[in-house]
Amino acid sequence: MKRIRGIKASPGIAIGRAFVLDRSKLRVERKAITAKKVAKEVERFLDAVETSRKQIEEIRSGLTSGTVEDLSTILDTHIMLLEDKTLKHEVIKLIKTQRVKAEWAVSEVIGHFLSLLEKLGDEYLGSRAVDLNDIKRRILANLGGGDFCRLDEVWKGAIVVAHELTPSETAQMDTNRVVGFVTELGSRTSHAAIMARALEIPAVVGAVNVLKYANQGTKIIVDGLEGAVIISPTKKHLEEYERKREAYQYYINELLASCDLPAETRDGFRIAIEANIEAPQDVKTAFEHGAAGIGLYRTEYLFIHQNRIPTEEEHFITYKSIAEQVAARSATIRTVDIGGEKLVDAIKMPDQLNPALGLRAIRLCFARPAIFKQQIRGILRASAYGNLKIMFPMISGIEELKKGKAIVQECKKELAKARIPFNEQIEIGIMVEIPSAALTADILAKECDFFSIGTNDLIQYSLAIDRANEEVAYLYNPLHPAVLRTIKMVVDAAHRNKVRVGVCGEMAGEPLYALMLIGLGVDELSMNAIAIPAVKKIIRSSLLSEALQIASKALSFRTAEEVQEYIYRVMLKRYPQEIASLVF
Amino acid sequence: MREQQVTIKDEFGMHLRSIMVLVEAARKFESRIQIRFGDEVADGKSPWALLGLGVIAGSQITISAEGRDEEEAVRTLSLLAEQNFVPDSEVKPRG
Repeated sequence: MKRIRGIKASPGIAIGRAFVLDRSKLRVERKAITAKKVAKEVERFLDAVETSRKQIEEIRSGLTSGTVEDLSTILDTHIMLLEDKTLKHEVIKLIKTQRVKAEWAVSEVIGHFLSLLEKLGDEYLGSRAVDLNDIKRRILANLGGGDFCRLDEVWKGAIVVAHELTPSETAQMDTNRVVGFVTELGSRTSHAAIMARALEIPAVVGAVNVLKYANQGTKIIVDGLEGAVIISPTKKHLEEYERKREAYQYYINELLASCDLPAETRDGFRIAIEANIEAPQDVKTAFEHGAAGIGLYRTEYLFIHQNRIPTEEEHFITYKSIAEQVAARSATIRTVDIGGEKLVDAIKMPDQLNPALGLRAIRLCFARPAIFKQQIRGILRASAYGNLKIMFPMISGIEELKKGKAIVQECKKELAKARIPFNEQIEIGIMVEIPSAALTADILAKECDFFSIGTNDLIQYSLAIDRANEEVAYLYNPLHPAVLRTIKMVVDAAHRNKVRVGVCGEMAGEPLYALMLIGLGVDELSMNAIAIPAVKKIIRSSLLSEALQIASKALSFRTAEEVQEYIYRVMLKRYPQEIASLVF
Repeated sequence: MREQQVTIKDEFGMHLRSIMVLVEAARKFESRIQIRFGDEVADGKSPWALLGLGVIAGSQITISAEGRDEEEAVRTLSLLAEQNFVPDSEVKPRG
């Protein structure tokens, strides 16, 4: 028995036999050929390229539509690279001039391009280089060597074990046969991890040295809940994991089957569970997991991903897509929150000694009104297509809220003058994440339609803790009495003014805290889609009176530790399964 | 023949993804398209040839086209380079 720790890439438990993709056999040696054999070698190479191209086209046409959007683009790239005459030309030249076997020539030529790419640098390109490696391996395999296409022969119940998995390999995986996979390389955001989640196959990545211990056919367990791989498990382990797998499966089925039911307590108190998203394509996943709406769209990814300032048209198209998807439900668009730790090169920023307290979010928008107006106009125009709301981040007082609203008003006037349609009644709300906003919540509530408490920043600013600073990170605690009191105070001030309050930080998606937050009076919780089913289940199986009791008890403690001890005890007792699932 | 100089702004130079966008756009034109970087010239419709140029961040390249639609080709491709090879038609915040 050997247990290897890795990174949890996709949840669930898989038990099966290792299908090892060992590519060491593909190491190529330089072999000379006679002059007579050159023509034949060239032909062999061209055949291998053509076979490779056909294989990829086949994989591509076999993709079920809608599974993974980016995959067909990746495969198109591969086809384009295989069809390119430059590659053929360079390889043939090498075969002819050096009189070497095609394998060597292919390795050399593609190796040369890889080294050029590496010179351009960075991890991002490292992941792109996987594409070229993928092509190299495929051509080599089609030249007669290696293991490459063996994935076709994978047996039922296989756990694929590899150093790394390329996009075309993951695409090729027969999900009726492959029950899990493990790679030595990779992170939670690497291609293999994303694919595993899309295919809903348990996976662990970054399992260092797993190939050393796993042989072809070895019994192996992938624990995607804890991020562990167990090789050659004992009978006891097997039994334990069989139980864990069944319990998890049962739980997931039950959760997903019921996630469309409203988030209503047994005594009929309803709360809105919404999703946080980062891109229009996340809306679908959000609704599939039972979201009642989009509580937070983080628009900074529109800036960060492209690394430039989006045009008004780009804003409009993106928000329109969201508006059309949510229709009568709603989506809250948070205006851009950059500065701080999220920087965009395209916006020239002075060096700031203390960026979290510096020019960021709404402050940056006021300093660069043109950027802000493009975004506001984009949101307003899109509001003609579905129920959108505007939310300002980092509001510290009433002046900023008024200023933001004035700019919205100005944009509305311009659009009306140009006869461009928009929703006149669009709701405007703010993030409550700065202690000064929390303390003046009663004043702010009179000027806006809704609040959303951003707990991540609120905790950071209230407790004066930089979470990224390892020396003090231990002090970051959502259950600090100051945080709970702040939430309570904001909720009370809002409700006195008939303003709804949501929570959209990480705290909202934590099943342990769900009842406490409801008891504190929060009207909406917005979280990552994956957390929604468990949180909804907890709400549906509890009573409002219970939530109120938990909240009032939580408020009575003097330290975060006491609150934590109490919350864990009461929640674990009542919801053991739901809490167990939150290890992910 | 038409040509235009552009600066590659992307911090990783002309990497595989931008090359793919360029090639895809270039192939829509009838004209012969060439990209010059320093002393080297590459076929604008060949991804491997463009990779071979190894264009690093901040360098200048010359896009040239020769043929019936040369004017539009140079204009389109230069614009694409200026937009950091993000095709106009797609606004993809992520992925």
